[in-house]
Amino acid sequence: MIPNVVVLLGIILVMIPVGFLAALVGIGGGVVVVPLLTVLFGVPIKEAVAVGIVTVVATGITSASRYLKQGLTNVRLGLFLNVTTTLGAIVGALTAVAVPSSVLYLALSAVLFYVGCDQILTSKAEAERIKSGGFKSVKEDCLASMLGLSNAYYDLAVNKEVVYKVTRSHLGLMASFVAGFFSGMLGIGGGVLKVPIMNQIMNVPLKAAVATSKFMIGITASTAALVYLRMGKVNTVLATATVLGISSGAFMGTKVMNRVGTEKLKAIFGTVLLVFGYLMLAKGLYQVTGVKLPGV
Amino acid sequence: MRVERVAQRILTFGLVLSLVLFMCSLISFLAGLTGYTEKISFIAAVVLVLTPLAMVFSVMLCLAGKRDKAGFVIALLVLLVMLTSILMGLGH
Repeated sequence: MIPNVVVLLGIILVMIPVGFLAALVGIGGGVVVVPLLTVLFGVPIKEAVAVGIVTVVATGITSASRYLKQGLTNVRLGLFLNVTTTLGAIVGALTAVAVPSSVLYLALSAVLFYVGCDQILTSKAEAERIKSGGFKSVKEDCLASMLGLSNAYYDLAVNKEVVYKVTRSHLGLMASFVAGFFSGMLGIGGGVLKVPIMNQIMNVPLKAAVATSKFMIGITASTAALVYLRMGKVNTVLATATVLGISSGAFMGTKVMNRVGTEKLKAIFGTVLLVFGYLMLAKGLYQVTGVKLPGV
Repeated sequence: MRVERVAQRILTFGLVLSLVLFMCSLISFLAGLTGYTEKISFIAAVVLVLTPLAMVFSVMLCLAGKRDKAGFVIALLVLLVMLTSILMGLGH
């Protein structure tokens, strides 16, 4: 597809809020970018998927560079979890044919509904824990201690340094493999799973989890994007518009994220998870029953 | 230099370079020079996509310089897994 000037400028404008949201909640944004390109701009699905992956790299790098500067990203934790996430993605991609995707969509939907509700219900509790230093009082496990995974960041919303001890590293590592597996099988970035794994299993505060997730997404998506580029499947003219738009939005999102209160951020993240849960449920139901739910 | 600082510098450099190239590509498109648009945007996309790989490599070297064995091994594993998935993807 060769776009005209109006389409290119339209894509830039539409991508700005997507980048903003992706930076705010630690997701790649590919799940939003692909439908927007196909539905609003008539881009063929295969082209949209390839452009979407390059766009996810752009949001990842833009947000990661800003969050690193703000001291929010935990590089060691991000690298540690990335090993099993990428391995999981490889296994997921290789076994994609063996498991019906409808089963995976429905399973992922159930997980997202559960985690989304939990994020909303625990939003006040996490804000309280940040104020009372609750993330510091947890006992660090031996693997986290050996690898130096625990860290701290300065929370601008409450004007204080939040120290956190990473725990249940083994479980986090295994859960990351599962998150990577879902990513590889369903072609999603996996940020919706990476953030809750760090936040709810490994005792990482939401803001640090969001920043670390963006750092990881840039690394994971770049490998797939490189393959697509080498195979000549990326419409780089379209990518120009999506990258410029989404990077601008992501830049603005990173300016805002650390100033937003944890309670609000968790509520926003929980809502995003519920929306994603609905999308996955609708896709799964469509494949099983042929019934098309609204918005899909 | 701290590992975070190294990672941030590499990511910022790669991002800025690719965004400048993407802007040049957009300007050439608006000016009707479509022949240049595709070439410049392709180079921009390659720079963007290679940036995380360069970042992990630099972080690994930084950790090696600090004699941080555990960190070095993790970064090396990430790099190996990235290269494996690229090679597998190309071969598929």
